[in-house]
Amino acid sequence: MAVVSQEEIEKIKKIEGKVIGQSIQEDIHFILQKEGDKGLERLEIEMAKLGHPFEFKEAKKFQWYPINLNMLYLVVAKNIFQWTDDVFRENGRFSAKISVIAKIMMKYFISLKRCFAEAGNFWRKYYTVGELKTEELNEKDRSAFLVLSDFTGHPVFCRILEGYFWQVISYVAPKEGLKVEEIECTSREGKVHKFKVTW
Amino acid sequence: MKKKDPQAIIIQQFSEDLEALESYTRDLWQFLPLPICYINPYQVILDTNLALEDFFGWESLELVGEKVEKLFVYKSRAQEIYQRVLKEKRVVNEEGEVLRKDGQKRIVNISASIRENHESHMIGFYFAFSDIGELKKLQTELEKKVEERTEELQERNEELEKFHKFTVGRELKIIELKEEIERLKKELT
Repeated sequence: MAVVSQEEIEKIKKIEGKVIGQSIQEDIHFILQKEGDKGLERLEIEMAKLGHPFEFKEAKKFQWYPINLNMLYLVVAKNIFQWTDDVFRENGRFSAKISVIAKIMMKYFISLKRCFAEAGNFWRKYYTVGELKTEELNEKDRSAFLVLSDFTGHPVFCRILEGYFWQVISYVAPKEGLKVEEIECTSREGKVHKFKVTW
Repeated sequence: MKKKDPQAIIIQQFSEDLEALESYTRDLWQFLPLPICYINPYQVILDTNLALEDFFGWESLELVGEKVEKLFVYKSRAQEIYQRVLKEKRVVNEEGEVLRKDGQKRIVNISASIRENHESHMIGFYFAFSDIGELKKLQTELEKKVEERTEELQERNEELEKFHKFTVGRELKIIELKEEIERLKKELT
């Protein structure tokens, strides 16, 4: 039995746009840390079985790859490694810690306002589709919304985003009470992906 | 044969160059034998090099996102250095005591410098730690030796003074006796 149903593969294949290879490399590092070389090898075998062979270690940091490939291997990883939502959030936090793009964006981690203002710029360095905006930033109430529009994605990817956003915001806000939660999702009949951030 | 889009060729070239440049920067950063970290204005560690991981015993992933004061024995010392570098933009060889993951304390010289953006606004800091533990040990040993030698010399000096007093006293007595002899000779004649 295939690790991902044909129906889901077809759905993922419809996702348009490209992702930068750096993002894939971040995932590779996480898989290697979590599942080791054998885990990555297993992922490659399962991807090939599904008819989408991909040599992960050949991914180049600054080349662009189809987003649907990115989503597919995440779903395969979820199924073969039995990853929970928390593992995907951990993946997101891990990515933000090692990301070259995050290093490029470090110059904006100087204030909460500046960090949120650059959300769109941040997103564009990773993906060719979708638009990320900050809404209702309220420093007094310690809350904001990150709204991702024109992007389909996949629920596992939303958990990664929760982790990634959490990590980046923790650089400019106290992490003790920091929470990032998706309150609207296109996979749950939402129009956009909306993340509520409180700290 | 289909001709390649010139713009696509340029983008491809830039991507490859960027990858090479990134690799060079990363390799250089990781090669540096001095423990270094980069922190933002909230004093949160955003990056560390391998030497810092080795020196402090923490993995980079454990430190990124943590306050730099985590590396110090006294948080107040981290604040003092932070305030100084904020004011003076650069601090060189400030002594401090840092804490390793295993709880061991180390004496280091801390150098720090601010990083500015193109508008000369401060956007972060670099912190470098040089281990002076061995140097400090040698210095203490040397100071102890100097102290011991000084004590020895003082004792010798006191002995010499005693000897000096004794010999001078003897000389004076001889002179006194010679004068007495002279005086008695005169009386006899």
